[in-house]
Amino acid sequence: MALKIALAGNPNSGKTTLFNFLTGSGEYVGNRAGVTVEPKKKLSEKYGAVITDLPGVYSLSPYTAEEVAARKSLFDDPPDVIIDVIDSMNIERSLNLAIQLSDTGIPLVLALNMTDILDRSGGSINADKLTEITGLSAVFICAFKGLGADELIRAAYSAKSVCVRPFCGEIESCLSQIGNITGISSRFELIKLFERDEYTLKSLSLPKTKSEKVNEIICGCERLFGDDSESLIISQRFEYIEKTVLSCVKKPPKKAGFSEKADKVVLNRFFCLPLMLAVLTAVYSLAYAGPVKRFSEYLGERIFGEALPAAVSLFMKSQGVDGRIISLVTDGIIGGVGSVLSFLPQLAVLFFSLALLEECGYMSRVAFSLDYIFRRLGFSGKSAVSFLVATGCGAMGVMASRTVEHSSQRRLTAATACFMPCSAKIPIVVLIAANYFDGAWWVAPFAYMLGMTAIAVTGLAARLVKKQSFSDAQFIMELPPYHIPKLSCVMHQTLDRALAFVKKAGTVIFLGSTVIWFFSNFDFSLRLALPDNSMLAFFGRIAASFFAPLGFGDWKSVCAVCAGFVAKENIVSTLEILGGSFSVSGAAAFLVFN
Amino acid sequence: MTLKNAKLHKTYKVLRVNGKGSFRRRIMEMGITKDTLVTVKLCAPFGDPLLISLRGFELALRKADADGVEVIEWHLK
Repeated sequence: MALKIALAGNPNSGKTTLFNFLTGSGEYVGNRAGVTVEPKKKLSEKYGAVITDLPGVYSLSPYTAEEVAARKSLFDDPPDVIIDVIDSMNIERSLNLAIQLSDTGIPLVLALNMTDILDRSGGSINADKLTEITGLSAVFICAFKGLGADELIRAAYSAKSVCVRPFCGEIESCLSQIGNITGISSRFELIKLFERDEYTLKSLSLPKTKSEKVNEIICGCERLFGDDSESLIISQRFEYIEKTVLSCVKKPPKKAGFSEKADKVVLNRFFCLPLMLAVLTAVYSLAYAGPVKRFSEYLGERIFGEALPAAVSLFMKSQGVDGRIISLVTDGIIGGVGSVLSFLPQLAVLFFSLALLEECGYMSRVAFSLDYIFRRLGFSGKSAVSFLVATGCGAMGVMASRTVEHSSQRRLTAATACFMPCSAKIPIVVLIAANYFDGAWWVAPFAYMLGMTAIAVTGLAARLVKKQSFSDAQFIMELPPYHIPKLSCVMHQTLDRALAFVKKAGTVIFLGSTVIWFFSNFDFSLRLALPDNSMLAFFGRIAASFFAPLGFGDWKSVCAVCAGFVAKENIVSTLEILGGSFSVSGAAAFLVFN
Repeated sequence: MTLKNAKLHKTYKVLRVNGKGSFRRRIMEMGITKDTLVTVKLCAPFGDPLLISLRGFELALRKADADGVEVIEWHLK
């Protein structure tokens, strides 16, 4: 039976990078908390083990969705061994989780990651001393470069369950007293009980007499130290960690690292927001304007619009294919799918830029800088990241809303994330801009402004309706150091999303185009007819009466909108096939609606 | 005094973490416990949240939440 290994650790410690290395996958890394939200399991053929990548957590208390998921995974489906991936530059904070993991009784190995950064900074860790003091085996690795993995897995195979005792004698004796009264042997549960953890209390549901005795013991301890049990446990654990770190870690000399210096500029009070505006403008202009745009247009007009259909049509005619089929292929399929595929270069550039931003760690700075404004709108700074991600893919933006802590803010973020124009809507924006506004530069920014306004208005409205004050606190976020993004990772992400787009083109849009072509070229007696007399026109005109008040009431645009409910990319492909037209104001209304 | 009124670039020692419930626990689990040394590095464009440096990493914390952390000025020897 393959060894079951779980990868645990703080966010941004390099778990997913290690997971990718061990299993040969290309999972999404991202340099901010909340990227890995669900445990992912995969077999590592090289090492003969089933590896589960747990979401990054700071502790095993059920505070965030990730912590709940990690804790659940460890208890419902216990692994044979846990590898705690530790950012060696952050060993103090990381050991807090490590000790809690060892409390579960599952064998534990510490993977001291990012050794390259540690070496460069001039610091060092004495792994043997660390093992001597805590009893936990520690292995140096560099997941980024793929170093140390073999030794790590060997250590995993021979790891044993260790009990780290960070607390003073009085607390340890309290714990064993509680153990005697309740009959609980799991150290993790005993500590949680001592801390009066609600989740544990509920799941254990002790009889009244026992819980009263336990409470007495806890209160006795609290009186002795003059502090509540929760604070006692966490403080003493950190005190133990500080002592341990003093003996085995040589801290790097105290000079400002690159990240700190960069943040002085990036997060400068006056420079911060203009810089952000500049960065975002750069990202979107790269995709929407300049050489990439011209290339997309070339693809759309020359290749998919002329060269390809001509060549295919010639070929099919020479093979004696029926005229209707030729029309299906050239007008329907190549026309419809091609019009959407021609946007691939622009979308690929957008995906690339967004992936780059995420990997380098800028997103948490965005959340930090915008938190004040967003809070007043009923959101959180982390919602800003959701909205930014949503401009690449609406669904991913909704998923990113999981990092928002407060439940009402989180729900609002998830609900409004799709107001931001996502990559599927870019073709619509470009189409309308080019055909009705002479390709004016302001149409695209207008679409984004509109999205943001819609979000802001919704947020304010929600606050008014619920009469909420905006001071819902609870925002705490680590600002991880900047990373030089691993280009292979960024390219992998870009390729993934681009391929997903192409796949969608080949399936949903292909189908949609075929259906539209068919229904728009045949009438009810299944004879070839002009589009205006087709079956689609018939249904379209009925539906058009509903959409007329919106300002774009002709049947062609209405069909496009309906096709768009399935996939936004269908709108452009449908319009391409049907050849709709609007008045300028109608075009604007169409843009806004979608 | 609390962390809310801390001056930039000065080092403080945490006396206690007030408040109740899961968020107080969260603040402590992130490393802000009694006797921890913290420094406020900077604040966001509108003055909120604060960027706090402790235990070798950086944390963003809103002023309202920072108000729950009692501190005392600490002079590095």
